[in-house]
Amino acid sequence: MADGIPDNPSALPPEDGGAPDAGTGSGVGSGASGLPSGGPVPSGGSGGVGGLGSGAKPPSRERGLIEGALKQLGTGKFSFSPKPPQLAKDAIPGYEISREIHRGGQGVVYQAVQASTQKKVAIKVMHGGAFASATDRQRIEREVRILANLNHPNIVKVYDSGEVQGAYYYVMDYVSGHSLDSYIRSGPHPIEQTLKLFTTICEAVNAAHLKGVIHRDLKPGNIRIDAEGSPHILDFGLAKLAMDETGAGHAMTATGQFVGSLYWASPEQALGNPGTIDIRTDVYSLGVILYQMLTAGKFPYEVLGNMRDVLDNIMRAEPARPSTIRRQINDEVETIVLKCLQKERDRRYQSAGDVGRDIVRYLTGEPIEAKRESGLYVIGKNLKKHKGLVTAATAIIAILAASGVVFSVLYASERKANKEAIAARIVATTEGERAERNAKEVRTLALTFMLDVADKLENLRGATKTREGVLRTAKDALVKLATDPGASDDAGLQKELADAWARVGEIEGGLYLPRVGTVAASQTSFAEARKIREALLAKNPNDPQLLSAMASSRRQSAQVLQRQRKFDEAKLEFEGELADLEKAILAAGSSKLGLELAEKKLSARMDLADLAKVRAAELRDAERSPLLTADAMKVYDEVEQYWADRLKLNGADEKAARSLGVVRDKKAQTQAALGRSLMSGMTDAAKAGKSDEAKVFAAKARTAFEAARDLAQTASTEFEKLAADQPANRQLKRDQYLAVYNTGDANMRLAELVAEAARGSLTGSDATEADALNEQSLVKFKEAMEIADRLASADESNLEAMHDLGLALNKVGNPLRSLNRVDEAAAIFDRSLRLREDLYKTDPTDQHLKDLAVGQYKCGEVLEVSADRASVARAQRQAQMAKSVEMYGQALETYTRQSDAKLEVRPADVKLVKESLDRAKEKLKKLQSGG
Amino acid sequence: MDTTPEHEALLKRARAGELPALVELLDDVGQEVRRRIAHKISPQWRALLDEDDVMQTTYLEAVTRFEKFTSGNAKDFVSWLSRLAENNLIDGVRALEAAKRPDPSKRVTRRANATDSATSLVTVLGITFSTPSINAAKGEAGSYLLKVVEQLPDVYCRVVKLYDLEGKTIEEVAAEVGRSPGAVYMLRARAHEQLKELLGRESRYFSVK
Repeated sequence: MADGIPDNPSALPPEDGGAPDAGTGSGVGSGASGLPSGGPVPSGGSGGVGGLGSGAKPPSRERGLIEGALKQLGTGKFSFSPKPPQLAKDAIPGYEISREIHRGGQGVVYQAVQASTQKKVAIKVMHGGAFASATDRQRIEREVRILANLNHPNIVKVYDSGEVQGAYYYVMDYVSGHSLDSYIRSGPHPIEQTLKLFTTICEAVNAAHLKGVIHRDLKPGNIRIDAEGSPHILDFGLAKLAMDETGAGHAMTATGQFVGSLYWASPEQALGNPGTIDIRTDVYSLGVILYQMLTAGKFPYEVLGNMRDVLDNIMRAEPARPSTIRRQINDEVETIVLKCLQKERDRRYQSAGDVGRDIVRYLTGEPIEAKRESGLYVIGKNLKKHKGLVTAATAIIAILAASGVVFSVLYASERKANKEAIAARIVATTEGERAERNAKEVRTLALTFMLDVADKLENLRGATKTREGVLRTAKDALVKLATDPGASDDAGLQKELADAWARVGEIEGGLYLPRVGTVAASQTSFAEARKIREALLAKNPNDPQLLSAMASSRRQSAQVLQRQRKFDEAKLEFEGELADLEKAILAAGSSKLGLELAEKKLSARMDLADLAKVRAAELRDAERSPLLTADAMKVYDEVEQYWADRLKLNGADEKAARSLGVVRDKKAQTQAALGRSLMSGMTDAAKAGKSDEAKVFAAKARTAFEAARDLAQTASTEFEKLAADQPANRQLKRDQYLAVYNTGDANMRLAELVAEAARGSLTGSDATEADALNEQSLVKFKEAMEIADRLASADESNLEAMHDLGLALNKVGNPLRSLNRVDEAAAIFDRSLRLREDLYKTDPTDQHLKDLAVGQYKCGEVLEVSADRASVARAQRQAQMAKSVEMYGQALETYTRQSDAKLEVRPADVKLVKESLDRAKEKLKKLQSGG
Repeated sequence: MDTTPEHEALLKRARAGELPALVELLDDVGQEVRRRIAHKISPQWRALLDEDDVMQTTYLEAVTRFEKFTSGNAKDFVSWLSRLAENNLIDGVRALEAAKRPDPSKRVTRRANATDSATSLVTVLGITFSTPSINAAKGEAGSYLLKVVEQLPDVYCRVVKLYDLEGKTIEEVAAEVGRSPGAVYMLRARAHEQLKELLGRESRYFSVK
């Protein structure tokens, strides 16, 4: 069923002129405290609550509340001290404290000078009290002595410790520079540079391991980068101080408490099993750090949410492949990272030294030692994960074994030994069946069963690999069936083969399914189906069933062409579809098939109307677009009437109810396309000084956008009701997403129109209306985003949902930017871009490439707006403008790639990007020169 | 709001450690903050949460958190105070809304054993030093947590003890501390915030404490 995608939603918006100043934001709705983080509420010391001593003013309502509040603080517990307690300069004998460097939950770090050597040192004073005992202190001191022997240039040396004002402190080297945290945040850095830096970290960790010291709390915050760019590891071995005196607990307290930072913890730490902590625990944490260094801070799995979920993810969630975040990460680097992150310790590198050595091998062009997980291991894991599949997979293997296909298909890539072992096992179990080989069963299996399996797994998250395997097997089986003796004369088999190839194509690259292949692969499969159907039709040119099947092939081909923006070719195919259906209807007469075909024809007319609508949106031409949209609207009106009549006849007709919603949403998209074209006319007329003409365009555009909003709102309400009745129906949720999205889009366009008309002095300035419209569109886009997010989360292989999410994210960013919520907008655009990079990598279609370019442009644009803010520090503005230049540059490069590949690119988009790039470069120069 | 040189002088004195100066400053600018939040309380919650509740919790927070307002003039102080008030209001309303559809995992269940309750509180706070095993968080974490709770300002301490540790209902706690349910939610949110800071958000070395 053609549902239509949002009408050209990813096209670049017109430049709205001028970068808004930074909005401070009220903080309402942020949920954040708005307070800087800091140390604990001071206790003890001087001062006190009592004695306010202000009696001059009459008691006010506020005064009463304030005094009430003070009473609630408690006597003796609170003292008013506007500054946190500081250690006196000479509080620690032998050191002169210079300043406080950092105050955190664990303690306070001071910079000091060692009196005897005049050397700068850092002193960490732990927060005092609750657990300090004589035994604790003795143990700490002993451990510090051990650590003092860790002589390595990249390990921060600890060489003194003691007690000050009841709190334990230790003295270590002072390393100027910054933490690895900030290095990561400023990334991503070049991969080779990152790997070299990481190698040094591995060497340092390895040196400690060789002395029997495990860190247990490796994280970017514990690694500092000095001015020369060398890393220094802090707090080495201090985690060990927490272990109980005698136990084998090592990283655990007596209660099994793990000591370390959750996000970098290994599965064995998360599991809380003290006996399993060893140097491979540090290897795991190193893996998380490397992952972050390569991906500018991303974690291998979700670390937000409640602690139980995070622990569960550490223990069970498969890390997302880093190359999906940054596509420059190649197979070998990815293999190294993932090997560090293996859940089972035995599958990891066995030491930090091994990690470092493999990276050096990679850097010097030698083959790395880590190997990708074998296909068999992956299949095994997938089957284990989805127990329900085991039966199906076993059936496939068993039956295919009987047909003699299995080994060349399923395990072709496996090592010989594995293959032979599996062969022996399957042959042994299927020997009896071989004798009873049933050709019909094999045929059914190849033609439908496997495709059913692939379809059934459609909604199963993480089932992509299994689906790919099944699909590969099915395709091989189809090829084999087609080459069987006598197959070419078996018309029934040929029909089934064509249907099967068409299904394969849909699974691989269909518009509305979670795809497991590429559009290119689907085109090949569709072509295979079409070839067979053409051959059959040549023999029976008036067979209505064959004509209908041929029409379906043309439609599939047209939809692919439309996605590739090859509109003329797509139009020819859609017209061919219509012609085939008309022939089929004539041939079928007034049979039940005739009625079905008539409905199919209606759908084909909608396809042509959709194409006209999309073209109108692409053209954005005030003269030609309205003609196209008028054609489309005429068809939609007819179709709407048809479904409305059907629904009148039967109020429970779900198909009619959904189709009505779909056609109304399409009408909304068409009105929006019309509105945008008219708005272009308005801008052009205003530029040409034709004010009256511009005003007419403005009024017409407003009418079109308002109609679009109302239609989309109606459709979304209808879909919401339908989806509530059928919660498992993802298609209805997507319908709802589209309609909500289109409602937001219409509001956003209206806001743009209002602003644009005011800029062109066509109307008075009405910032309030534009703001209100932007707020309304933001609400709708967020709603759409949430729906897409839920659909995408349900199956990460659902590229369509991912694509929808990318669109919705970008759309959320637009009104945020218009409302001066620049930082929020920047974060949203960034997320959208990363998602689009991933999408393009997974499925390099023309549309995804185009989306990528828009994503890059949007990031560049919001960074430019951000850098224009006078309220931001110059260095930050400069960095943002540099990044903006980079993003615009990338967008231009992506457009160039599209042009080089002879894809349709709107010259206006390229022009806009070029102008933006030049403008940002100019601004950057000014910022650099202090202008 | 236009601030005056007198406000600047009061701010300076407060920074020097004079609580009465801070009280006077709060008294002077409080009306403005009240005006800013007044229209943000929807009628449906007014019976459970009023402006006075928000303002009193805000004053309490302003006094205990004044050290956080490290720089800025009197005008910035008004903005800071407004943010505190808005955050209090948001927390209060969110909690009231959540109470309409309670999430069992977010509510510390009624337990007789204080250590068990403390363990749940650790989970509610999302402190990362806890372990996946509930057992592991008993004892050491529990007793430590109780010590830290005692360090909170009285009213925070009472709310946490009554609601999170003793498992009383919000209405019971409200009656005991003499505040509205909305105010109790706000106090609890602030108390949890301070607890998180006292406990440390990331790794901790228990035995070194």
